[in-house]
Amino acid sequence: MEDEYLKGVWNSPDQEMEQFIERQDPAFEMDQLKKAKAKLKSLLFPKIVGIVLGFGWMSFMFLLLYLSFHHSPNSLGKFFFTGSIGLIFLSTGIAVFLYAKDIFTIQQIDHSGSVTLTQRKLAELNDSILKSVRISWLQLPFYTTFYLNEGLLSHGGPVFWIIQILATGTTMWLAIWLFRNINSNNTNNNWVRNFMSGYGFHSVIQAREFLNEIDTFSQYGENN
Amino acid sequence: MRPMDNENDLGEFVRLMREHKGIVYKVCNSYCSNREDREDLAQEIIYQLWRSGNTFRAGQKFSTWMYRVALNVAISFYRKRKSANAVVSYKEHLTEIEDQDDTDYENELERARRILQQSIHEMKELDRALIILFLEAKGYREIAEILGITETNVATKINRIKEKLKQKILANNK
Repeated sequence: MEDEYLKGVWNSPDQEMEQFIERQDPAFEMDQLKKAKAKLKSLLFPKIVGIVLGFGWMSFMFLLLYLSFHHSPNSLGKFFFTGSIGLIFLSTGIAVFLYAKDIFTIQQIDHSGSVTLTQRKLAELNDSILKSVRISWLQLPFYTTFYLNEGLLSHGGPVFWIIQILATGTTMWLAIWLFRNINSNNTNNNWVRNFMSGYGFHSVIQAREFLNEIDTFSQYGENN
Repeated sequence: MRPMDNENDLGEFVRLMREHKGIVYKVCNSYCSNREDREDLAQEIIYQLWRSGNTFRAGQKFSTWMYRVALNVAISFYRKRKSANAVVSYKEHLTEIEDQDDTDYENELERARRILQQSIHEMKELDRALIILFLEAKGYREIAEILGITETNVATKINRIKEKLKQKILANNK
C-alpha cells in the first residue's frame, strides 16, 4: 500500500473536523483556556485537601509535643510519649513533604520536551508517589508505645506484657515489611496489590508498565 | 514567546491556534473516541500550549513545538481516562456507513478513513504518536526530534506499523 494512499485517506474530508476548525468565534480560544483552567483546578482540589489534612495532623502532633515538653515533669512516660509522637510527627512530615513535592512537580512539568522524555518523567513521578506511602507506614509501631509509663512497665502483669509485645512486635514487623515491599517492583505480589488497592496503586502499576513500554519503544528499532 | 503576556501576544496566540487547529483536532481524534472527551482534550491542549508558551524558541518550527505539547498532553490525558472508561470502538460508525449501502467514491474514502482511525485507536499510545506524525507528512528527522528517538528507530517502526495498517485495511475491504 502506497504511503500517498494512506496520507490521502488521513487527509480526506472529515465533517467533524471541518466543524471544529470553522468555529471562528473570537472568544472560542479564550473560553477553552478558562474552562481548562477551572477543570485542572478542580482536579487538583482533592490532592490539596490531602496535603492540608496532613498538615492538620502534624499540627495536632506538634501541639501534643509542645504541651508535653512544657507542662509535664520528666519521667519515663514523658520519654515514651514525646519519643513516639515525635517519630510519628517526623514520618508524617516527610511523607507530606514528598507527596506535595511530587504533586507540584507534576503540575510544573514541561510538556514541550520530547514525547518519550516527558512521558518518562511523568511516569517516574507517579511511581515515586509510593515513597510517601512507604514512609508513612513506618510510624505504625509508635502508636503502640506512646502511652507507656513507669507504672505500666513496673507493675503491668503478664497479660499486659503479652499484649504489648504482640502489638508492638506485630506492628513493627508489618511496618518494616510494608516499607520493604511497597515498591513498584512488587506489582505482581498479590498481597501488596490487595493491600495497596486503596492508595492509587493501580496508577503506579500502570506507570511502571508504561515505563517498560517507553523503554521498548525507544530501543525497538535499534535491536531489530 | 509567552502568548498571554499582553494583548498583542494574546492576539498572536489566537491567530496561531486558528492556523493550526487541524493539528489539535487530529491529535484529539486519535486519542479520544467520543466527542465529549475530544472537547475536553482540546481544551487541555490549548491550555498547555498557552502555559508552555515561554518554552518556544525563536527559529524553532512552531508546528514541531505544537506537536510535542499536543502529543504529550494527549498521551497523559488518554492514560488518565483509560483506567476510567472503556475505549469506544469505531465499529458503530463503520456499521452506519455500511447501512447506507452506497458505494460511491466519497463513502469509500470515508470508510477507509474510519478504518484507519479505528486501527490507530487500537495502537499503543506511543505508536499512535508516531503514525500521526507520519500521516501528517513529517520527515523522519522531525519525527525523531518530536518523539525523542533515533531516525533509524522511526524508519523501522513506521515500516512495521504501515504493514499492519495495510493488512487491516485490506481485510476490511474484502
